[in-house]
Amino acid sequence: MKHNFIIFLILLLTAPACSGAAVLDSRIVTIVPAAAVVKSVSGIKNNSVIDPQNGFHSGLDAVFNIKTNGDDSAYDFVLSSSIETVHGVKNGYFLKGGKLYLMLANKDRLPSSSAVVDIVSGNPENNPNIIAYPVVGWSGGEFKPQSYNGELCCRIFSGGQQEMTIAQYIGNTPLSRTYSIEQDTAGMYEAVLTLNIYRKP
Amino acid sequence: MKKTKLFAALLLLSATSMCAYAENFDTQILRAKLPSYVDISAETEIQEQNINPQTGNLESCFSSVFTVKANDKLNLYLHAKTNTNSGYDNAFFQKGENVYVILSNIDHKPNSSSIADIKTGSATPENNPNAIAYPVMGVVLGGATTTETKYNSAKNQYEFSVNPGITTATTTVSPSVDSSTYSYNDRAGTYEAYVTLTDTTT
Repeated sequence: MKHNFIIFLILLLTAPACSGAAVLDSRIVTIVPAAAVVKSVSGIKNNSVIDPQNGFHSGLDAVFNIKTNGDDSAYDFVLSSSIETVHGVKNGYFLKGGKLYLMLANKDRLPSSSAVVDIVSGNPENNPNIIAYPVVGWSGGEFKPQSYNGELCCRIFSGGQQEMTIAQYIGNTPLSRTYSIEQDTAGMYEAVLTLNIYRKP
Repeated sequence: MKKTKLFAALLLLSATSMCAYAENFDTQILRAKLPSYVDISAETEIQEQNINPQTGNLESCFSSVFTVKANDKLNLYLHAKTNTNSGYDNAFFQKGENVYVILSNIDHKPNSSSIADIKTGSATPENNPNAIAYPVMGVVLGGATTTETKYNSAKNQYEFSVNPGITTATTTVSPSVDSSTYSYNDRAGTYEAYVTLTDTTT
């Protein structure tokens, strides 16, 4: 009889707890992942004319529009460049005296990779069909030339901006000893700039 | 030991898969067109020779040298002109296998009939006063271009094409006068012809 009473008492005490479990809060969680999109903005300064007497071009800018709901902590914004040679695609950027330069290569008469090596060496002498121009400015974000995945490129820092139009301006005056009438044959000189948005792990 | 290596390999694969990957990208091509261009310069603007008044021969050869800097394969034309009372006339002409250049007296300009007489190929010295003809030994190209020049007898000009790079074009005029063009009818004075290398045909 005494045991029956104790069991009854236990049931009585635990009953409210059981009824409380039936009214637990239900939480709905929706995760919006970081997302980003980049689009090239074409303009008249994608196409330029080089003065054959001195190698000056009439104006070259690279412009991209970036939209993101993330920021520098979620992504790496990386602007890289490439030029075509008879020995394959090479990096179009190089540093000389701490300044960033961009090479343009003759698409109609591809240069040898040795011409790239000659210019990147810092003491250009023999570099047919490649002309180098300085990167003289940018806008829309903070640009830092640095190595990324082993290649020299431009890191762009958004500073938390959700939408930005970034531009890189290429100076008109060729780097000394990278342009000459005798070496650089007539044709279309090109560099391909690619803006990659890498999601951080 | 083998398990340790397997674990290390798995760890490496796992770490690699966590690297950043491209979420999105776009490209832009920067293009700059370099047009065809040629820069032609004469090594010597004026060349002077003495003419032997007894024979009409020059002291030595005339050698006209042009330096051509080209960034493309281009056609070039070598003209010559000489002055008359009626204005400039083409100074090159062909007689048989040879090309000649006519020099005219700038102090006593010849009539155009003098030039015309010489170009007949059967000139008589009395009919071409104040104009003297010398044979052109040829136009030799050196440097980036190794092709030969051709003489266009219809246009009385030398024609050749140059490759990209530096080419020199040397025109040599023989000192031996065409005897049918020299006599004492040719007055004392300075005899001239202009030789021009251009990318424009006549």
